[in-house]
Amino acid sequence: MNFLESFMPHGMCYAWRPDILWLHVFSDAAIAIAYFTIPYALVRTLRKRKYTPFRGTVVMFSIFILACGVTHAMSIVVVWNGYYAIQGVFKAITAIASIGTAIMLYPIMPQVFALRSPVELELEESNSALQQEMDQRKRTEEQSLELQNELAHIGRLTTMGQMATGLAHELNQPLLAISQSADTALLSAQENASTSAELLECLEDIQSQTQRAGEIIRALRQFVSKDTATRSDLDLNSLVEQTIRLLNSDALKHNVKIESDLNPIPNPNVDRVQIAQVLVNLLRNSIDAVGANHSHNRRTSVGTHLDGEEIVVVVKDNGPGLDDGIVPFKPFESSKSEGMGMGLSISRSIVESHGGKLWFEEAAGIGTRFIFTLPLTRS
Amino acid sequence: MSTVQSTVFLVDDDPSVRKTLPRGLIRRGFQVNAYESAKAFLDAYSTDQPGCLVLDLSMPEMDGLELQRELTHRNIAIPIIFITGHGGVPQSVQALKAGAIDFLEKPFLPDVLIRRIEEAFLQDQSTRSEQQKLASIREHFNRLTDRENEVLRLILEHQANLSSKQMAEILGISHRTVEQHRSRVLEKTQAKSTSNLLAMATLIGLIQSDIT
Repeated sequence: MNFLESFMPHGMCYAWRPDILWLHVFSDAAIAIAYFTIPYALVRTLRKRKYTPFRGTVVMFSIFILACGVTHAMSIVVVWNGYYAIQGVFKAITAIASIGTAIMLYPIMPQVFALRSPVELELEESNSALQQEMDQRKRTEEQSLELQNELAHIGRLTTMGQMATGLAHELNQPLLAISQSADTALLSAQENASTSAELLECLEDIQSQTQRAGEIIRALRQFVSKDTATRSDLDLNSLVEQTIRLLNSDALKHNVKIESDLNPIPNPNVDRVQIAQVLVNLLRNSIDAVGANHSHNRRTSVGTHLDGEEIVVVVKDNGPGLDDGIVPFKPFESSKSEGMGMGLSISRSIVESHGGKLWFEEAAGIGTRFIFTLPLTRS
Repeated sequence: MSTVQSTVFLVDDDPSVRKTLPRGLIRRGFQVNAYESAKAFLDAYSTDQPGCLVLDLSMPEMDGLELQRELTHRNIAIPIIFITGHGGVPQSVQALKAGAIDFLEKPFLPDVLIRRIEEAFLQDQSTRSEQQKLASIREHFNRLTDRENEVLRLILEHQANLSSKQMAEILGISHRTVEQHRSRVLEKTQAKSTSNLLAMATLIGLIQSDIT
């Protein structure tokens, strides 16, 4: 019998029962149609998208599916015509294509797993953006916390520094008077022959102890001021921003809005913490001053700009201005019940120790402006 | 000049300093004038008073550095000793750069101040004698007649390189007259030689010293 000869049709096996026969025929037909359309769709995709990954595998998969479709079509043919040999040939082709696809598929599986879908890609992008923002916030928070810690630390030192500077200023005058008086008394006493050695010794002691007191004040002040060793080129605008962040909650409590007008300026060589202290002092004053303003428009602002060889920082508010009879910058004089009256005096010494000036301007109805300058070091 | 006693001009806003500091100085034979502000000093001071300034650094209104600047501006060369209650390093540098004798932190020993005052007096005296010398040279030069001045100008302009003959030609007068004027110029200005004349003219600014 010939290999290609027709055998008994497969319908015989169904005993030509129409329900079973057509169930098979329709199912095979449906499967075949589906299997023919799948490779069509795949090939179209490959043509449109030149850079689809795993092109070879996709082509192989298309052939495999196509072959499967053909075997299902052959199943329909053999229901009425028994060409089992031809069906077998197609099955064999399908088998080869299947095995080929399987072989190609396995090694690329890890790569396929690594492929990310557009959704995944989008998710990943927004994740990294979120992470960056979180990092940025954390950094900002850390900076602001660091500044707060430094200020707290300096605050403790400052209480002593305030005392030292205030004391130095106020006590050195009477100390000089005592020293000079002891000296004159000594001269007087020496002229008088009847002066006892004890009196001379007492006067000499007064003189030397006065000098000692002066030395103590000097040492204390030097200890606090730490000289210029801690100076560095500083991004002043970013320090202003940090200071504003630091005081924002304070300002919100008083219903005050802190604005900033920061212009591009070169970095001055200054002590970061000391200048931060000046900014905090001026801003706190300003917030307190505006807090006393009864209008709803409570504003305070910090501005920086360059004026020739100097950096100018202006802190202004629309508060009611300074109390009558208060001399700003005078130590131990304050309009605030809880204040020590040292803030401005300290701030002025800090600014002056940087070679700058600190002063205030007042205009009725506009508010108060405190202005300080920092010279750019010419080196 | 030496008959006028040098004065210590004290400027300090603190009354206790104004009261006690002069006492010791006066006792040592110094003449002291004390002022409560920079303005009070400027109002009272005239440049013919020799002496030095003992100046407080920090004062309301015009502070010590500002007074120093003002004095420089007014061409007053009185030596300055700064005294301060809070020793500011930058200010002291600034003050010393601008020619201050010293920068003393209160409370200082009277001896230290006195040494500085004596130094300042010496400096003031030498400045004054220098100025007096210049003034007398200027005065001599002012005695020249118009014609003599013309001759002088020719001598200065040409660095004494013109002969009397050449000058006579330029001025349109006789050679002999030029010679006469020339010797009158040297006589009146008390110049020992033509080069001495040039040197004196440079001192009082008749010639720019940077001419080569």
